[in-house]
Amino acid sequence: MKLSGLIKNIYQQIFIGIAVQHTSMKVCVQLRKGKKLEKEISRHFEISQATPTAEANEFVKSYLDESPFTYVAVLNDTLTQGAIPTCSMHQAEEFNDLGSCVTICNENKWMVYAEKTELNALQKRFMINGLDFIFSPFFILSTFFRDKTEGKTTLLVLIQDDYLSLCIFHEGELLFANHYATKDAVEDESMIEELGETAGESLGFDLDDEEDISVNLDDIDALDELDALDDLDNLQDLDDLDDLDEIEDFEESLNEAVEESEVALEEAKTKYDSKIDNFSDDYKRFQLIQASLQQFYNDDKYNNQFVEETYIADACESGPDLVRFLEEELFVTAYKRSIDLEKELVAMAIKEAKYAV
Amino acid sequence: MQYSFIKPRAKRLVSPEFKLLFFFFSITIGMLFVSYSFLKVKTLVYESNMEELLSKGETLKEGIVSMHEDIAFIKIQRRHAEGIYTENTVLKESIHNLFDLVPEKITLSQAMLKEDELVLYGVTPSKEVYEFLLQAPLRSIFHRSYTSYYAMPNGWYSFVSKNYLDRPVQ
Repeated sequence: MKLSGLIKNIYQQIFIGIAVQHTSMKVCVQLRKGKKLEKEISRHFEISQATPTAEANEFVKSYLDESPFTYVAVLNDTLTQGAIPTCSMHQAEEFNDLGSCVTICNENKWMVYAEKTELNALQKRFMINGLDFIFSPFFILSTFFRDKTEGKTTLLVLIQDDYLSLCIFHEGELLFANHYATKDAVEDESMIEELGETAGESLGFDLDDEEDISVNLDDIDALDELDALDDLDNLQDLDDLDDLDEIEDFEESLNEAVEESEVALEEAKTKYDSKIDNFSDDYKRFQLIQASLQQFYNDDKYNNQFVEETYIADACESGPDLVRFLEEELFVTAYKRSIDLEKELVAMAIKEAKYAV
Repeated sequence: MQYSFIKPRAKRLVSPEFKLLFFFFSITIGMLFVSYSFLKVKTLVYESNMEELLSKGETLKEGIVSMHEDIAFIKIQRRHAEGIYTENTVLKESIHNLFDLVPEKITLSQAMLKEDELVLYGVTPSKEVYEFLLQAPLRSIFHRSYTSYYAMPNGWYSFVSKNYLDRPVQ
């Protein structure tokens, strides 16, 4: 055993995996001694503009101070990245211009790439605590579905809140890969700002114009659940109420009915919103996958291989619609498996740290 | 296998502050060690030189003793030589005086000069000439003087004179 290995076994090694989205950040911390996992902590932070907040930085820093052998790994969330089915830079020119990219060759078969300036920007975002590893989502995918890449032509998809990475493998060899942002960060930010400033204007109605105030409740199916409001019709006519007791009873029952209706409204709204969001996100993802497959099938470079199976690594708890779309529209068998990206990053960092000095 | 787009930062077991402290301590300890080594080497060299000088001193002392012995011997020799020289001078003077003593009329044929003895062989025209001219001075020098005469055909006498000095009894 080398001296560095011996020292590493004596000291506690801490691996921190960070999966970052535009507005959230998941962190997994594993404290290890030798090969033994001593402790695992997972945390979720709300952030903005994909930059860690002071609280998140403080959380990471607390572990950096704990051991000299602390490794911070992050998933590459830059837009200009991908994978190419060759390790030859000469052949790679057919697929993309990699002049300003950093490339990593895998098993001398295929390589991943990422724009150098964007990597620098990513490091700058985490400059307070620094980074040790930046991993490509394609490596995560190929490792996560290692047993699925060896056989027939398979589409692997990694879905995150804000990103989608997909690659196609055939008999262990990469054929095609693409990386997309499913949410436009700039659009989201501007939308949030607009909502904050002039919510009314952005929703498209003017409070001065009484005709525009009305909202067509028929359009919202979930509001049918507001049956509690119908109970109001059963209440006695106000003219029949002569004594105070009856008035108090009436007030109480009215309050209860209003409260019940408010709760029901809130629940229905939440359910409706999340369903709509999931549906639209899944559809967006489906469209991206469809476009990518179209590109794959139409390009002669990829030998017109037909994708038979799709494996989805789901990092954002998406709905069942994407699988349904893929099976119904594209006629491929689709399987979905949840993935804890931050844990996968930690696992990869552990492997990578063996080669670190 | 490399999966990461960047290389991990070098992991340091000790902080830069500790490193700086360790560096200065090392320098101090190093300097102390160098000084100690220097002094140790110097002491060893000094001790070695001292031993060498002591042995040299011993040798010189032995030389001095030997030289003193030589000087004493030389002094003895010198005294001896001076004695010989003096004796020779005295003898020379004596011989010179002896020959001065011999008058023209007497001819010496042989003279034997010993330490306390002088034997003269010669020819004299007469016993009186010998007695007056040579015997008298000889008697003043030597304690005892004996002379024998032999008559020669021409009337002269050949003589043998034995003269002795008596050394005082010590």
